[in-house]
Amino acid sequence: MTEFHGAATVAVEAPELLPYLAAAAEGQLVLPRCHACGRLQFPPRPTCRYCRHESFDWVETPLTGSVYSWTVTHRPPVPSLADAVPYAVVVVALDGEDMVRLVGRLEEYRDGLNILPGQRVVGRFITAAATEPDDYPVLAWQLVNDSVLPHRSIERAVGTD
Amino acid sequence: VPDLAAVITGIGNTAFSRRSGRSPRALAVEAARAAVADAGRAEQDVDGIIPVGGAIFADDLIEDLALSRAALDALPAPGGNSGLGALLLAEVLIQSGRCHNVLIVFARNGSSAQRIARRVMGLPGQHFRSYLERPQGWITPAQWYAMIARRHMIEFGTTKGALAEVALVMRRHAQLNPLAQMYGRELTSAEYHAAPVISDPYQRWDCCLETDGAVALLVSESSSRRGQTRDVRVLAIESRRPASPEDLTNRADWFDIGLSCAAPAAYARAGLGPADVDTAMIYDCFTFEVLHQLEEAGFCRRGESDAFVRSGAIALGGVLPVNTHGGLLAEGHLGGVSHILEAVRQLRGEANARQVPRARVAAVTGWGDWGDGSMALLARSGGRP
Repeated sequence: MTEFHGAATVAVEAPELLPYLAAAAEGQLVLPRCHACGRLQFPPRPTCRYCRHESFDWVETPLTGSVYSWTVTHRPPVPSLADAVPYAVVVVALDGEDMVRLVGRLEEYRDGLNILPGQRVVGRFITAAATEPDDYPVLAWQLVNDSVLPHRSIERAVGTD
Repeated sequence: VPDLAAVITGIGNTAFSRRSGRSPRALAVEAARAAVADAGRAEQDVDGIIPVGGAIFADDLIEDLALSRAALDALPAPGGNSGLGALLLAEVLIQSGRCHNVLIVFARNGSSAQRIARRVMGLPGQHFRSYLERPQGWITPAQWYAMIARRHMIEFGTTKGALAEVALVMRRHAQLNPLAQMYGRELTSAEYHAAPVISDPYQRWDCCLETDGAVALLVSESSSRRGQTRDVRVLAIESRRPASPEDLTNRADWFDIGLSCAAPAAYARAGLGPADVDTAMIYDCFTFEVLHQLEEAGFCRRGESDAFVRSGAIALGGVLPVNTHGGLLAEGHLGGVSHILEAVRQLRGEANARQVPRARVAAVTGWGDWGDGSMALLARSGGRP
Protein backbone atom coordinates (compact mmCIF):
# COMPACT_ATOMS: atom_id res chain seq x y z
CA MET A 1 0.00 0.00 0.00
CA THR A 2 1.37 3.36 -1.03
CA GLU A 3 1.95 5.75 1.82
CA PHE A 4 0.47 9.22 1.56
CA HIS A 5 0.10 11.98 4.08
CA GLY A 6 -2.78 11.06 6.36
CA ALA A 7 -2.76 7.37 5.40
CA ALA A 8 -2.26 6.28 9.01
CA THR A 9 -5.33 8.27 10.08
CA VAL A 10 -7.43 6.87 7.24
CA ALA A 11 -6.29 3.33 8.09
CA VAL A 12 -7.73 3.76 11.58
CA GLU A 13 -10.78 5.94 10.91
CA ALA A 14 -11.99 4.84 7.48
CA PRO A 15 -10.08 1.74 6.29
CA GLU A 16 -12.68 1.11 3.55
CA LEU A 17 -11.46 4.30 1.84
CA LEU A 18 -7.74 3.50 2.02
CA PRO A 19 -7.31 1.74 -1.36
CA TYR A 20 -9.21 4.54 -3.12
CA LEU A 21 -7.22 7.32 -1.47
CA ALA A 22 -3.88 5.55 -1.90
CA ALA A 23 -4.50 5.11 -5.62
CA ALA A 24 -5.73 8.70 -5.87
CA ALA A 25 -2.47 9.89 -4.32
CA GLU A 26 -0.77 8.11 -7.25
CA GLY A 27 -3.13 9.80 -9.70
CA GLN A 28 -5.35 6.80 -10.42
CA LEU A 29 -9.02 6.05 -9.88
CA VAL A 30 -9.81 2.65 -8.46
CA LEU A 31 -13.34 1.52 -7.60
CA PRO A 32 -14.45 -1.36 -5.40
CA ARG A 33 -15.96 -4.33 -7.27
CA CYS A 34 -17.94 -6.83 -5.24
CA HIS A 35 -16.42 -10.32 -5.17
CA ALA A 36 -19.88 -11.88 -5.11
CA CYS A 37 -22.03 -9.93 -7.57
CA GLY A 38 -19.26 -8.25 -9.56
CA ARG A 39 -20.74 -4.77 -9.54
CA LEU A 40 -18.63 -1.62 -9.36
CA GLN A 41 -19.79 0.92 -6.82
CA PHE A 42 -19.01 4.05 -4.88
CA PRO A 43 -18.43 5.20 -2.17
CA PRO A 44 -16.55 2.30 -0.55
CA ARG A 45 -18.45 0.70 2.33
CA PRO A 46 -18.01 -2.43 4.49
CA THR A 47 -20.65 -4.27 2.45
CA CYS A 48 -21.75 -4.28 -1.19
CA ARG A 49 -24.60 -1.85 -1.79
CA TYR A 50 -26.32 -4.40 -4.04
CA CYS A 51 -25.86 -7.79 -2.32
CA ARG A 52 -24.26 -6.91 1.08
CA HIS A 53 -21.29 -9.21 0.45
CA GLU A 54 -18.23 -8.17 2.46
CA SER A 55 -15.24 -8.38 0.13
CA PHE A 56 -14.10 -6.42 -2.88
CA ASP A 57 -11.32 -6.13 -5.37
CA TRP A 58 -10.26 -2.79 -6.77
CA VAL A 59 -10.52 -1.94 -10.44
CA GLU A 60 -8.64 0.83 -12.17
CA THR A 61 -11.17 2.99 -14.02
CA PRO A 62 -10.76 5.88 -16.49
CA LEU A 63 -11.57 9.34 -15.18
CA THR A 64 -14.03 10.33 -17.88
CA GLY A 65 -17.70 11.13 -17.57
CA SER A 66 -20.42 13.72 -17.94
CA VAL A 67 -21.77 16.51 -15.76
CA TYR A 68 -24.73 15.30 -13.66
CA SER A 69 -25.14 18.45 -11.56
CA TRP A 70 -23.08 21.36 -10.29
CA THR A 71 -23.01 24.40 -8.04
CA VAL A 72 -20.80 27.47 -8.21
CA THR A 73 -19.86 28.63 -4.71
CA HIS A 74 -19.32 32.35 -4.23
CA ARG A 75 -19.35 32.63 -0.45
CA PRO A 76 -16.43 30.76 1.16
CA PRO A 77 -17.88 27.90 3.22
CA VAL A 78 -14.78 27.93 5.43
CA PRO A 79 -12.16 30.67 5.92
CA SER A 80 -9.43 28.61 4.25
CA LEU A 81 -11.34 28.85 0.94
CA ALA A 82 -11.62 32.66 1.03
CA ASP A 83 -9.20 33.04 -1.87
CA ALA A 84 -10.65 30.14 -3.87
CA VAL A 85 -14.11 31.57 -4.62
CA PRO A 86 -15.85 31.52 -6.96
CA TYR A 87 -15.33 27.84 -7.67
CA ALA A 88 -17.48 25.12 -9.20
CA VAL A 89 -18.17 21.72 -7.64
CA VAL A 90 -19.53 19.14 -10.05
CA VAL A 91 -21.07 15.71 -9.66
CA VAL A 92 -19.91 13.58 -12.57
CA ALA A 93 -21.58 10.42 -13.86
CA LEU A 94 -18.73 8.11 -14.82
CA ASP A 95 -18.61 6.75 -18.36
CA GLY A 96 -19.82 3.19 -18.74
CA GLU A 97 -20.80 2.77 -15.08
CA ASP A 98 -24.53 3.22 -14.75
CA MET A 99 -24.40 3.96 -11.03
CA VAL A 100 -21.06 5.52 -10.17
CA ARG A 101 -20.89 9.27 -9.63
CA LEU A 102 -17.96 11.24 -8.26
CA VAL A 103 -17.90 14.73 -6.80
CA GLY A 104 -15.00 17.04 -7.61
CA ARG A 105 -13.85 20.54 -8.42
CA LEU A 106 -14.09 21.96 -11.90
CA GLU A 107 -10.58 22.99 -12.86
CA GLU A 108 -9.97 26.42 -14.33
CA TYR A 109 -13.45 27.63 -13.45
CA ARG A 110 -13.86 31.31 -14.18
CA ASP A 111 -16.79 33.52 -13.33
CA GLY A 112 -19.49 33.25 -15.97
CA LEU A 113 -18.24 29.99 -17.48
CA ASN A 114 -21.19 28.16 -19.00
CA ILE A 115 -21.54 24.67 -17.53
CA LEU A 116 -24.10 22.43 -19.22
CA PRO A 117 -25.80 19.23 -18.11
CA GLY A 118 -24.32 16.18 -19.78
CA GLN A 119 -21.17 18.06 -20.77
CA ARG A 120 -18.19 15.71 -21.09
CA VAL A 121 -15.37 15.97 -18.55
CA VAL A 122 -12.00 14.37 -17.92
CA GLY A 123 -10.54 14.23 -14.44
CA ARG A 124 -7.26 14.02 -12.57
CA PHE A 125 -6.25 13.86 -8.94
CA ILE A 126 -4.30 16.75 -7.49
CA THR A 127 -3.28 17.73 -3.98
CA ALA A 128 -4.62 21.19 -3.27
CA ALA A 129 -3.19 23.46 -0.62
CA ALA A 130 -6.37 25.11 0.55
CA THR A 131 -8.60 22.20 1.50
CA GLU A 132 -9.98 20.82 4.71
CA PRO A 133 -8.50 18.52 5.74
CA ASP A 134 -5.24 19.37 3.95
CA ASP A 135 -3.38 16.98 1.73
CA TYR A 136 -6.12 14.56 0.75
CA PRO A 137 -6.36 14.18 -3.01
CA VAL A 138 -8.74 16.51 -4.81
CA LEU A 139 -10.54 15.26 -7.89
CA ALA A 140 -10.25 17.99 -10.50
CA TRP A 141 -12.41 17.82 -13.63
CA GLN A 142 -11.94 19.67 -16.88
CA LEU A 143 -14.69 20.40 -19.39
CA VAL A 144 -14.23 18.85 -22.82
CA ASN A 145 -15.58 21.54 -25.12
CA ASP A 146 -18.34 21.04 -27.69
CA SER A 147 -19.43 17.76 -26.24
CA VAL A 148 -22.88 18.23 -24.78
CA LEU A 149 -24.98 15.08 -24.68
CA PRO A 150 -28.61 15.42 -25.78
CA HIS A 151 -30.91 15.60 -22.75
CA ARG A 152 -32.48 12.16 -23.21
CA SER A 153 -29.05 10.55 -23.35
CA ILE A 154 -28.39 11.92 -19.88
CA GLU A 155 -31.42 10.14 -18.54
CA ARG A 156 -30.40 6.85 -20.12
CA ALA A 157 -26.89 7.19 -18.75
CA VAL A 158 -28.27 7.75 -15.26
CA GLY A 159 -30.29 4.54 -15.19
CA THR A 160 -32.03 3.17 -12.13
CA ASP A 161 -31.40 0.52 -9.56
CA VAL B 1 -56.31 5.69 16.20
CA PRO B 2 -55.20 3.80 19.32
CA ASP B 3 -56.87 4.39 22.67
CA LEU B 4 -53.82 6.20 24.02
CA ALA B 5 -53.71 8.81 21.27
CA ALA B 6 -51.15 11.58 21.65
CA VAL B 7 -52.34 15.17 21.77
CA ILE B 8 -50.34 18.39 21.88
CA THR B 9 -51.57 20.19 24.97
CA GLY B 10 -49.16 23.11 25.28
CA ILE B 11 -46.70 25.22 23.32
CA GLY B 12 -44.15 27.83 24.38
CA ASN B 13 -41.33 29.90 22.97
CA THR B 14 -38.77 32.60 23.67
CA ALA B 15 -38.04 35.58 21.47
CA PHE B 16 -35.96 34.71 18.40
CA SER B 17 -32.82 36.72 17.71
CA ARG B 18 -29.35 36.71 16.23
CA ARG B 19 -27.76 37.10 19.65
CA SER B 20 -29.75 36.09 22.71
CA GLY B 21 -27.08 36.86 25.29
CA ARG B 22 -28.50 33.96 27.30
CA SER B 23 -27.50 30.33 27.66
CA PRO B 24 -29.41 27.60 25.82
CA ARG B 25 -30.42 26.33 29.28
CA ALA B 26 -31.97 29.66 30.19
CA LEU B 27 -33.79 29.79 26.85
CA ALA B 28 -35.02 26.22 27.39
CA VAL B 29 -36.40 27.10 30.83
CA GLU B 30 -38.44 29.98 29.43
CA ALA B 31 -39.94 27.98 26.54
CA ALA B 32 -40.56 24.84 28.63
CA ARG B 33 -42.30 26.74 31.45
CA ALA B 34 -44.52 28.48 28.89
CA ALA B 35 -45.47 25.16 27.25
CA VAL B 36 -46.31 23.46 30.53
CA ALA B 37 -48.37 26.46 31.68
CA ASP B 38 -50.14 26.64 28.30
CA ALA B 39 -51.15 22.99 28.81
CA GLY B 40 -52.55 23.76 32.23
CA ARG B 41 -50.09 21.34 33.81
CA ALA B 42 -47.34 21.56 36.38
CA GLU B 43 -43.66 20.75 35.95
CA GLN B 44 -44.00 17.66 38.16
CA ASP B 45 -46.50 16.18 35.67
CA VAL B 46 -43.70 15.80 33.10
CA ASP B 47 -42.55 12.18 32.93
CA GLY B 48 -40.83 12.20 29.53
CA ILE B 49 -38.17 14.58 28.20
CA ILE B 50 -36.95 14.99 24.61
CA PRO B 51 -34.24 17.63 24.19
CA VAL B 52 -33.63 18.68 20.56
CA GLY B 53 -30.88 20.64 18.84
CA GLY B 54 -27.77 19.33 20.56
CA ALA B 55 -27.22 22.17 23.02
CA ILE B 56 -29.20 20.96 26.05
CA PHE B 57 -29.74 17.66 27.82
CA ALA B 58 -32.50 16.17 29.96
CA ASP B 59 -30.14 16.65 32.93
CA ASP B 60 -30.29 20.43 32.47
CA LEU B 61 -34.08 20.46 32.40
CA ILE B 62 -34.40 18.10 35.38
CA GLU B 63 -32.21 20.41 37.44
CA ASP B 64 -33.50 23.76 36.23
CA LEU B 65 -37.22 22.90 36.34
CA ALA B 66 -37.12 20.34 39.18
CA LEU B 67 -38.52 17.72 36.81
CA SER B 68 -38.88 14.15 38.01
CA ARG B 69 -35.59 12.27 38.13
CA ALA B 70 -37.60 9.23 37.04
CA ALA B 71 -38.52 10.88 33.74
CA LEU B 72 -37.63 8.90 30.63
CA ASP B 73 -35.57 10.71 28.06
CA ALA B 74 -35.20 10.03 24.35
CA LEU B 75 -33.03 11.60 21.68
CA PRO B 76 -34.04 11.85 18.02
CA ALA B 77 -31.28 11.56 15.42
CA PRO B 78 -29.61 14.95 14.92
CA GLY B 79 -30.32 17.14 11.89
CA GLY B 80 -33.33 18.82 10.38
CA ASN B 81 -35.59 15.83 10.83
CA SER B 82 -35.10 15.92 14.61
CA GLY B 83 -38.12 18.12 15.33
CA LEU B 84 -40.62 15.66 13.92
CA GLY B 85 -38.40 12.83 15.14
CA ALA B 86 -39.01 14.17 18.63
CA LEU B 87 -42.79 14.26 18.09
CA LEU B 88 -42.70 10.68 16.84
CA LEU B 89 -40.76 9.55 19.92
CA ALA B 90 -43.20 11.43 22.15
CA GLU B 91 -46.11 9.64 20.51
CA VAL B 92 -44.40 6.28 21.04
CA LEU B 93 -43.77 7.06 24.72
CA ILE B 94 -47.40 8.11 25.20
CA GLN B 95 -48.84 5.15 23.32
CA SER B 96 -46.66 2.71 25.23
CA GLY B 97 -48.31 3.88 28.41
CA ARG B 98 -44.95 4.62 30.03
CA CYS B 99 -45.36 8.40 29.80
CA HIS B 100 -48.31 10.72 30.23
CA ASN B 101 -46.75 14.13 29.54
CA VAL B 102 -43.69 14.36 27.32
CA LEU B 103 -41.83 17.66 27.13
CA ILE B 104 -40.06 18.44 23.84
CA VAL B 105 -37.63 21.34 24.06
CA PHE B 106 -35.51 22.79 21.28
CA ALA B 107 -33.01 25.38 22.55
CA ARG B 108 -29.88 26.65 20.86
CA ASN B 109 -27.82 29.71 20.12
CA GLY B 110 -27.64 28.73 16.46
CA SER B 111 -26.58 32.20 15.41
CA SER B 112 -24.27 33.53 18.10
CA ALA B 113 -22.70 30.19 19.09
CA GLN B 114 -22.52 26.99 17.04
CA ARG B 115 -23.51 27.77 13.47
CA ILE B 116 -24.45 25.37 10.71
CA ALA B 117 -20.98 24.67 9.25
CA ARG B 118 -19.97 23.25 12.65
CA ARG B 119 -23.26 21.55 13.47
CA VAL B 120 -23.18 19.37 10.36
CA MET B 121 -19.93 17.80 11.61
CA GLY B 122 -22.14 15.82 14.01
CA LEU B 123 -24.23 14.20 11.28
CA PRO B 124 -23.87 10.64 9.93
CA GLY B 125 -21.51 9.70 7.10
CA GLN B 126 -18.59 11.84 8.28
CA HIS B 127 -16.01 9.58 6.58
CA PHE B 128 -17.47 10.43 3.20
CA ARG B 129 -17.63 14.09 4.14
CA SER B 130 -14.04 14.19 5.47
CA TYR B 131 -12.23 12.31 2.73
CA LEU B 132 -14.39 12.56 -0.38
CA GLU B 133 -16.33 15.81 -0.18
CA ARG B 134 -14.77 18.51 2.03
CA PRO B 135 -11.41 18.30 0.21
CA GLN B 136 -13.31 19.27 -2.97
CA GLY B 137 -14.78 22.31 -1.22
CA TRP B 138 -18.25 20.70 -0.95
CA ILE B 139 -18.87 21.37 2.72
CA THR B 140 -22.11 23.08 3.73
CA PRO B 141 -25.82 22.21 3.38
CA ALA B 142 -26.26 25.24 1.08
CA GLN B 143 -23.78 23.61 -1.30
CA TRP B 144 -25.28 20.11 -0.96
CA TYR B 145 -28.86 21.15 -1.58
CA ALA B 146 -27.88 23.60 -4.34
CA MET B 147 -26.63 20.50 -6.17
CA ILE B 148 -30.06 18.86 -5.82
CA ALA B 149 -31.86 22.05 -6.87
CA ARG B 150 -29.69 22.27 -10.00
CA ARG B 151 -30.49 18.67 -10.90
CA HIS B 152 -34.22 19.41 -10.54
CA MET B 153 -33.78 22.37 -12.90
CA ILE B 154 -32.03 20.05 -15.38
CA GLU B 155 -34.65 17.31 -15.25
CA PHE B 156 -37.85 19.37 -14.92
CA GLY B 157 -37.04 22.88 -16.08
CA THR B 158 -37.67 24.33 -12.62
CA THR B 159 -36.90 28.04 -12.57
CA LYS B 160 -35.24 30.55 -10.33
CA GLY B 161 -38.58 32.34 -10.33
CA ALA B 162 -40.11 29.50 -8.35
CA LEU B 163 -37.34 29.71 -5.75
CA ALA B 164 -37.99 33.44 -5.54
CA GLU B 165 -41.71 32.84 -5.00
CA VAL B 166 -40.97 30.62 -1.99
CA ALA B 167 -38.64 33.20 -0.46
CA LEU B 168 -41.03 36.09 -1.06
CA VAL B 169 -44.08 34.26 0.30
CA MET B 170 -42.21 33.22 3.46
CA ARG B 171 -41.13 36.81 3.98
CA ARG B 172 -44.66 38.14 3.43
CA HIS B 173 -46.03 35.67 5.96
CA ALA B 174 -43.39 36.78 8.46
CA GLN B 175 -44.79 40.32 8.26
CA LEU B 176 -47.89 38.92 10.02
CA ASN B 177 -45.83 37.26 12.79
CA PRO B 178 -44.38 39.66 15.39
CA LEU B 179 -42.20 36.79 16.65
CA ALA B 180 -40.39 36.42 13.30
CA GLN B 181 -36.79 37.59 12.95
CA MET B 182 -37.82 39.21 9.66
CA TYR B 183 -40.94 40.92 11.07
CA GLY B 184 -40.93 44.48 9.81
CA ARG B 185 -38.37 43.67 7.13
CA GLU B 186 -40.11 43.22 3.81
CA LEU B 187 -38.36 41.72 0.81
CA THR B 188 -38.98 42.79 -2.77
CA SER B 189 -38.38 40.65 -5.83
CA ALA B 190 -35.63 43.05 -6.92
CA GLU B 191 -33.90 42.72 -3.55
CA TYR B 192 -34.19 38.94 -3.67
CA HIS B 193 -32.54 38.73 -7.10
CA ALA B 194 -29.84 41.29 -6.22
CA ALA B 195 -28.68 39.49 -3.06
CA PRO B 196 -25.21 37.92 -2.95
CA VAL B 197 -24.80 34.43 -4.38
CA ILE B 198 -24.02 31.82 -1.73
CA SER B 199 -23.78 28.69 -3.88
CA ASP B 200 -25.80 28.93 -7.05
CA PRO B 201 -28.73 28.71 -7.60
CA TYR B 202 -28.88 29.77 -3.94
CA GLN B 203 -28.55 33.43 -3.05
CA ARG B 204 -28.81 34.97 0.38
CA TRP B 205 -32.59 34.77 0.71
CA ASP B 206 -32.81 31.19 -0.54
CA CYS B 207 -31.08 30.21 2.70
CA CYS B 208 -32.72 30.02 6.11
CA LEU B 209 -31.79 32.23 9.03
CA GLU B 210 -29.43 31.36 11.86
CA THR B 211 -31.28 31.82 15.11
CA ASP B 212 -30.86 32.01 18.87
CA GLY B 213 -33.97 30.87 20.71
CA ALA B 214 -36.07 28.07 22.14
CA VAL B 215 -39.43 26.45 21.47
CA ALA B 216 -41.18 23.74 23.45
CA LEU B 217 -44.29 21.63 23.37
CA LEU B 218 -46.01 19.27 25.76
CA VAL B 219 -47.39 16.04 24.30
CA SER B 220 -49.92 14.27 26.48
CA GLU B 221 -52.24 11.27 26.37
CA SER B 222 -55.66 12.23 25.11
CA SER B 223 -57.75 10.01 27.33
CA SER B 224 -57.35 12.21 30.38
CA ARG B 225 -58.64 15.36 28.72
CA ARG B 226 -61.40 14.45 26.34
CA GLY B 227 -63.24 17.41 24.92
CA GLN B 228 -60.45 19.94 25.43
CA THR B 229 -60.79 21.99 22.27
CA ARG B 230 -57.34 23.57 22.47
CA ASP B 231 -55.73 20.14 22.34
CA VAL B 232 -54.34 19.20 18.93
CA ARG B 233 -54.48 15.53 17.97
CA VAL B 234 -51.60 13.73 16.34
CA LEU B 235 -53.52 11.81 13.68
CA ALA B 236 -50.39 10.25 12.22
CA ILE B 237 -46.66 10.75 12.20
CA GLU B 238 -44.25 8.78 10.03
CA SER B 239 -40.54 9.13 9.39
CA ARG B 240 -38.35 7.41 6.82
CA ARG B 241 -34.79 7.49 5.54
CA PRO B 242 -33.97 7.56 1.82
CA ALA B 243 -31.95 4.90 0.01
CA SER B 244 -28.23 5.29 0.85
CA PRO B 245 -29.13 7.59 3.74
CA GLU B 246 -25.52 8.64 4.37
CA ASP B 247 -24.63 9.44 0.74
CA LEU B 248 -26.45 11.56 -1.83
CA THR B 249 -24.02 11.47 -4.75
CA ASN B 250 -24.57 7.84 -5.73
CA ARG B 251 -28.27 7.61 -4.90
CA ALA B 252 -30.08 6.47 -8.05
CA ASP B 253 -32.88 9.03 -7.77
CA TRP B 254 -32.06 12.28 -5.98
CA PHE B 255 -35.72 13.19 -5.64
CA ASP B 256 -36.79 9.98 -3.94
CA ILE B 257 -36.39 10.93 -0.28
CA GLY B 258 -37.64 9.79 3.10
CA LEU B 259 -40.75 11.91 2.72
CA SER B 260 -41.63 10.06 -0.52
CA CYS B 261 -42.47 7.04 1.68
CA ALA B 262 -43.36 8.82 4.94
CA ALA B 263 -46.14 10.92 3.40
CA PRO B 264 -48.19 8.04 1.91
CA ALA B 265 -47.77 6.12 5.17
CA ALA B 266 -49.01 9.09 7.20
CA TYR B 267 -52.00 9.66 4.91
CA ALA B 268 -52.89 5.97 5.08
CA ARG B 269 -52.73 5.90 8.88
CA ALA B 270 -54.87 9.03 9.18
CA GLY B 271 -57.32 7.96 6.48
CA LEU B 272 -56.68 11.24 4.69
CA GLY B 273 -55.11 12.48 1.49
CA PRO B 274 -53.24 15.62 0.43
CA ALA B 275 -56.52 17.32 -0.55
CA ASP B 276 -57.69 17.12 3.09
CA VAL B 277 -54.81 19.27 4.31
CA ASP B 278 -55.76 22.90 4.99
CA THR B 279 -52.29 24.27 5.71
CA ALA B 280 -48.78 22.82 5.55
CA MET B 281 -45.62 23.62 7.47
CA ILE B 282 -42.81 22.50 5.18
CA TYR B 283 -39.22 22.26 6.46
CA ASP B 284 -37.70 25.16 4.55
CA CYS B 285 -33.98 25.14 5.19
CA PHE B 286 -33.63 26.34 1.58
CA THR B 287 -36.17 27.48 -0.98
CA PHE B 288 -35.80 24.48 -3.29
CA GLU B 289 -36.42 22.05 -0.45
CA VAL B 290 -39.94 23.49 -0.17
CA LEU B 291 -40.56 22.69 -3.86
CA HIS B 292 -39.02 19.24 -3.45
CA GLN B 293 -41.18 18.37 -0.43
CA LEU B 294 -44.40 19.79 -1.92
CA GLU B 295 -43.91 17.21 -4.67
CA GLU B 296 -42.94 14.27 -2.51
CA ALA B 297 -45.71 15.00 0.02
CA GLY B 298 -48.22 14.71 -2.80
CA PHE B 299 -49.41 18.33 -2.88
CA CYS B 300 -48.43 18.42 -6.55
CA ARG B 301 -46.84 15.94 -8.92
CA ARG B 302 -43.11 15.50 -9.26
CA GLY B 303 -41.72 18.18 -11.54
CA GLU B 304 -44.78 20.41 -11.15
CA SER B 305 -43.90 22.39 -8.02
CA ASP B 306 -42.70 25.33 -10.12
CA ALA B 307 -46.16 25.90 -11.61
CA PHE B 308 -47.83 25.05 -8.28
CA VAL B 309 -46.07 27.77 -6.26
CA ARG B 310 -46.26 30.31 -9.09
CA SER B 311 -50.05 29.87 -9.15
CA GLY B 312 -50.13 31.46 -5.70
CA ALA B 313 -50.96 28.15 -4.01
CA ILE B 314 -48.63 28.45 -1.01
CA ALA B 315 -49.49 31.99 0.07
CA LEU B 316 -52.18 32.84 2.61
CA GLY B 317 -55.41 32.81 0.61
CA GLY B 318 -54.04 30.12 -1.73
CA VAL B 319 -55.13 26.50 -1.90
CA LEU B 320 -52.39 25.38 0.52
CA PRO B 321 -50.96 28.14 2.71
CA VAL B 322 -47.40 27.07 3.59
CA ASN B 323 -45.38 28.21 6.62
CA THR B 324 -47.77 30.91 7.74
CA HIS B 325 -45.25 31.91 10.44
CA GLY B 326 -42.54 32.61 7.84
CA GLY B 327 -40.68 29.34 8.35
CA LEU B 328 -36.97 28.84 8.77
CA LEU B 329 -36.48 31.32 5.95
CA ALA B 330 -38.13 34.28 7.69
CA GLU B 331 -39.25 33.41 11.22
CA GLY B 332 -36.05 31.66 12.24
CA HIS B 333 -34.32 28.28 12.41
CA LEU B 334 -35.78 26.50 15.41
CA GLY B 335 -35.07 23.05 14.04
CA GLY B 336 -38.53 22.53 12.63
CA VAL B 337 -40.09 22.32 16.10
CA SER B 338 -41.39 25.82 15.37
CA HIS B 339 -43.32 24.33 12.43
CA ILE B 340 -45.23 22.12 14.85
CA LEU B 341 -46.00 25.17 17.02
CA GLU B 342 -47.42 27.07 14.06
CA ALA B 343 -49.60 24.11 13.06
CA VAL B 344 -50.95 24.05 16.62
CA ARG B 345 -51.71 27.79 16.53
CA GLN B 346 -53.55 27.38 13.22
CA LEU B 347 -55.61 24.42 14.41
CA ARG B 348 -56.51 26.18 17.65
CA GLY B 349 -57.58 29.25 15.69
CA GLU B 350 -54.95 31.31 17.51
CA ALA B 351 -52.86 32.46 14.53
CA ASN B 352 -54.28 36.00 14.60
CA ALA B 353 -53.63 38.01 11.42
CA ARG B 354 -52.31 34.96 9.61
CA GLN B 355 -55.12 32.57 10.56
CA VAL B 356 -56.13 30.14 7.83
CA PRO B 357 -59.97 30.17 7.92
CA ARG B 358 -61.52 26.91 9.15
CA ALA B 359 -58.16 25.13 9.40
CA ARG B 360 -58.97 21.60 10.55
CA VAL B 361 -56.04 19.50 9.33
CA ALA B 362 -52.41 20.62 9.17
CA ALA B 363 -49.44 18.75 7.73
CA VAL B 364 -45.92 19.26 9.04
CA THR B 365 -42.84 17.91 7.28
CA GLY B 366 -39.27 17.35 8.36
CA TRP B 367 -36.18 17.20 6.16
CA GLY B 368 -32.68 16.48 7.36
CA ASP B 369 -29.20 15.46 6.34
CA TRP B 370 -29.26 13.74 2.94
CA GLY B 371 -33.01 13.29 2.71
CA ASP B 372 -34.33 11.95 6.01
CA GLY B 373 -37.97 12.89 5.92
CA SER B 374 -41.14 12.82 7.92
CA MET B 375 -44.74 13.94 7.93
CA ALA B 376 -47.14 14.61 10.77
CA LEU B 377 -50.86 15.10 10.25
CA LEU B 378 -52.45 17.10 13.05
CA ALA B 379 -56.08 18.00 13.64
CA ARG B 380 -58.26 20.07 15.92
CA SER B 381 -59.42 18.02 18.84
CA GLY B 382 -63.11 18.82 18.49
CA GLY B 383 -63.59 18.62 14.75
CA ARG B 384 -63.30 16.30 11.81
CA PRO B 385 -61.79 13.84 11.15
